[in-house]
Amino acid sequence: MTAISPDTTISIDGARKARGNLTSARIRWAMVFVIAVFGVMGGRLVVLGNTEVDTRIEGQARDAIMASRPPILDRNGLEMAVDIRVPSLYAEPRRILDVDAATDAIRTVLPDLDRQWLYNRLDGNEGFVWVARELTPAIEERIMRLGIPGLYFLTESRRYYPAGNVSSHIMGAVNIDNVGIAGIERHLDNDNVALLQELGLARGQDLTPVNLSVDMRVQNVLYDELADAMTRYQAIAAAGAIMDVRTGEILAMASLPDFDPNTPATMLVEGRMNRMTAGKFEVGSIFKSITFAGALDSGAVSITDRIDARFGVQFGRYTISDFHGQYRILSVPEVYTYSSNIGTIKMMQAMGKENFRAFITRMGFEGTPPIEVPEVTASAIPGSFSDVGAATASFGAGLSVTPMHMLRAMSALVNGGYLIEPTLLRTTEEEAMAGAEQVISAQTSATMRYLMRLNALEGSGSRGNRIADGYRWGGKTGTAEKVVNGRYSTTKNVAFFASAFPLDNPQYALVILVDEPVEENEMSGRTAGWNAGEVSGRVVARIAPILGVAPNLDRSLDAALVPSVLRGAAR
Amino acid sequence: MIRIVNIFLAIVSMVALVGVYAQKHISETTAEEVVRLERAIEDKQEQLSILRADWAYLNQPNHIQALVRPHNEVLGMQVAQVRQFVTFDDLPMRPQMRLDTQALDDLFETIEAGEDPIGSLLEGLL
Repeated sequence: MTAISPDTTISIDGARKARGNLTSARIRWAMVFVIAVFGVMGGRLVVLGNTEVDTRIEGQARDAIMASRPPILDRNGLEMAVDIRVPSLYAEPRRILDVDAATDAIRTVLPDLDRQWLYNRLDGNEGFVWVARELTPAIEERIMRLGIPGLYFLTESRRYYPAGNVSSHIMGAVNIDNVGIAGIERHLDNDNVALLQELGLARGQDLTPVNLSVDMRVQNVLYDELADAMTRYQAIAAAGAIMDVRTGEILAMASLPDFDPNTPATMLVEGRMNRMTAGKFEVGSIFKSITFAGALDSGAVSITDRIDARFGVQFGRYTISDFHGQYRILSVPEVYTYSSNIGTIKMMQAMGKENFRAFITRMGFEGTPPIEVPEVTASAIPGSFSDVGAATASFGAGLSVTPMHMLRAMSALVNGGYLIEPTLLRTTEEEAMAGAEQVISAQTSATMRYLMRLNALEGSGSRGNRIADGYRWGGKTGTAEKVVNGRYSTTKNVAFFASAFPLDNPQYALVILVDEPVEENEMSGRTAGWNAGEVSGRVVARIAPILGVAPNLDRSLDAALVPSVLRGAAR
Repeated sequence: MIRIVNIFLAIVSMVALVGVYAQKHISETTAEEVVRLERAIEDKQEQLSILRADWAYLNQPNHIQALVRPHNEVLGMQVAQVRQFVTFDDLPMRPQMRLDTQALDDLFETIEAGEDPIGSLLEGLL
């Protein structure tokens, strides 16, 4: 090759010069070649950098599957939910050589798998299919020994609830991908765990534990006594919850029949809902406590008044009369202890039905009960009351609320009048009181404590009081007739007991319900004092020592509850 | 001269070759060790999580209650009765002990006065 300059026709270079030109041309070509090669390599790098490697497992991020959840502890630090790491079997079908042999081999270890299903699963060209999830280390070992190519294990986190059924409705459950589907687990997801999992940060064992307000010892007692009530009274359901009246912390909440959170499918069986928050009831006479508080707080009725309960209250063709009819002039405390419908209606009427309706709203009965679990239902209360509607509502008929609404209102009645939000998370008194509203005066609250204690000493709570004597416990019974085919049934009812203890220094409130109880034996009755009342008494007798409430049989404590205006009276 | 330099460089490159290879080998072994340890940690964490779950299960009140129930004839456990609780005020005072206060006072007085009867006793022994 000869370089030809454009302005000369012919030029003959010397040999050395010609070689020099040749060399520089070769160098130029070499440069071009090197740049081309590097260009290809650089381009390939850009392509590789832009390729998104699919790390998803059947539509889910790998991190989400490996994600762990924070342990859930009770108020004493006992685990209520923990993660255990378990192996899960998956396959890469494109690496499986003999699908038939692999299918049969897997089925020697996992005989429950359907052969056809497994064959279809392994036959194909996918990069990832689940075979069986959340196995035991022993099964992992046996499958590894089979030595089938294309089968692998992945360590997954699996939720385990050591208490099983006992705390089921509080905990809720998670699905197989560790996503909360019910109860407090669902609440945690809505809160922030789901976000952490999505970001892939929720790995390992170092998530901050979540402390609940629940005390497992108390929870176990409540569960045990409710289970006992189910058999003792042949009830179709029993439920209850215990709340700290100063902080709103729920110490225990149970509803039977229940489910095992370790096998979430059992949750879906009919009738296993959480009756405390997701069941609404006509609560019957326990609602009289609300009417009393409203009437006394409005000033329309005073504790020293006498109420004419000689005749039933007439509304057109209907007459409302009393179950434990006295048919005489009653004092206000007598109206409470005899659970007189007539007397309660008269008190409500003295207050005025509009005021009564407004007071129900003030006591927090509207809407859904404020609590962390997502299984809640809204109460059903008429927007405005007719005369009859107000009359029936005064003794808890014709309006439906959840037992959790009732528990919250009971706490306000005894704690000095502060309506605080129930919570399943640890709370201090300051935090609770910051959001609390005073709904009744401290004096009305003191009067309500006296009435509740009186009802335990002389009224329908006396059966329970004999069991829980010494813990200054008291409350109100309610036996609500169930509506069957649009009519109130005379044989089927729901028994309630709403109470608090110790009433000289109120700390805990509880609501217990027994659905469709029957008489324990021929000697006993079916009204709430016989079942829900006794259950409450047994619960209190067992939990009070655990909660550090010292028993005291000194009757002067009860005497101190009597309002000063009633002291020295004949009672 | 140039030959010496060349030989020197050749030796250096040989040594460097051996050194780099050794380094690579060592780092590979270390990496293997790291992977092995990570596996072991994961294994232990797995076992730990199961033990923790076990411990939580064994500590559940309902589990303990289920264990107690069948043996309750022997254990005789019941709900604590109200009369079983007492306060410190209910406890009688400890019976008065007869203390020889006179002798103690004497002892303190002698110590106060600068004499140490026990000290002098010890000195006497020595």
